[in-house]
Amino acid sequence: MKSLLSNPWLELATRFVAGTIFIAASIEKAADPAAFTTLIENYKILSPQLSLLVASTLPWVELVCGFAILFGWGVRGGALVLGLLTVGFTAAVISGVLRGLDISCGCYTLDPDVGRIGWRKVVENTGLLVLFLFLVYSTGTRYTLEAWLSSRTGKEGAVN
Amino acid sequence: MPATPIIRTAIREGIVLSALSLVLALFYNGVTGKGVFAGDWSRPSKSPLAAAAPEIISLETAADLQRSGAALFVDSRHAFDFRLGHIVGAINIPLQESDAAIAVLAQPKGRTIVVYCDGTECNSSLEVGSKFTAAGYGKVLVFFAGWSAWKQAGLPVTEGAR
Repeated sequence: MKSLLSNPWLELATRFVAGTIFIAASIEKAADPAAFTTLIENYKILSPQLSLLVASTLPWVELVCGFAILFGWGVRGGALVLGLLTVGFTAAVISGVLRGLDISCGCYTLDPDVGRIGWRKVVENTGLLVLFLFLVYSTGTRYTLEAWLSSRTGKEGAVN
Repeated sequence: MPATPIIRTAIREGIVLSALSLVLALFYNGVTGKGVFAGDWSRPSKSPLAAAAPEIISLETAADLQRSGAALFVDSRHAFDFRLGHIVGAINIPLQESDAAIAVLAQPKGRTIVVYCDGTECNSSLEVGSKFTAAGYGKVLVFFAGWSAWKQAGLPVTEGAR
């Protein structure tokens, strides 16, 4: 367990997968908040105004945290934020499924015919949560931007 | 595993990243005039499912209503698809023509309306259903599983225009 947590290659691979997923998922939604608002309203959880507010900001959080995780700058923070968001998304999907809503997830695309909510989504999200939990606790941070920057400044310090 | 310092770092980084995201979101939406800057806060919901959403019914309920003749079935698919086959007793009101067609429809407003389209691949049943609700029909149901589920179940179908 301990060696898994400190394995830098596993950390790098996990960051690549989790970061890429959220960057890819967020771009279309960030660019078209109006369409995303409709998808959020379909869940019938938030008011139209709150849906608009969430649709305008949430994709940007996904995008920034996705990049943070992919490049390795603030990985723990990005993983914590996206992990908490994923818990929220999963709760919304479960409540939608239990209420018998047949709606588009709004997870990866704005296309209303793709990715309808269901238990499969819940399983997918649980998998994502494992990745984020790993990234919060992983100490294998050798191949991150942060480690690279601090090694550079470290070398310069040695020269001076 | 020193959990507390790790979580503290994560929270601190998370706050920085969230703040950065909000700045970017405000910037993008402000520059493009989208989202919260679109200036339509009080607009009616565009979601076909929001607020006065039509009730969605199952195949069994739809079949019962069709058998008893208690409801008017409305097929919201394209006229071409309708001619190829539709639920027995259904009338065709495609989404594009729905405003005019609903306006001239001579049906009591208390009559149960069941709207359907192809199935989960389409949303026109929801949109036409919302228009029936907006037109004052009190009991509008959407058979969301639609034509594909109906046909698959071997329930009564017919062909031709109406």
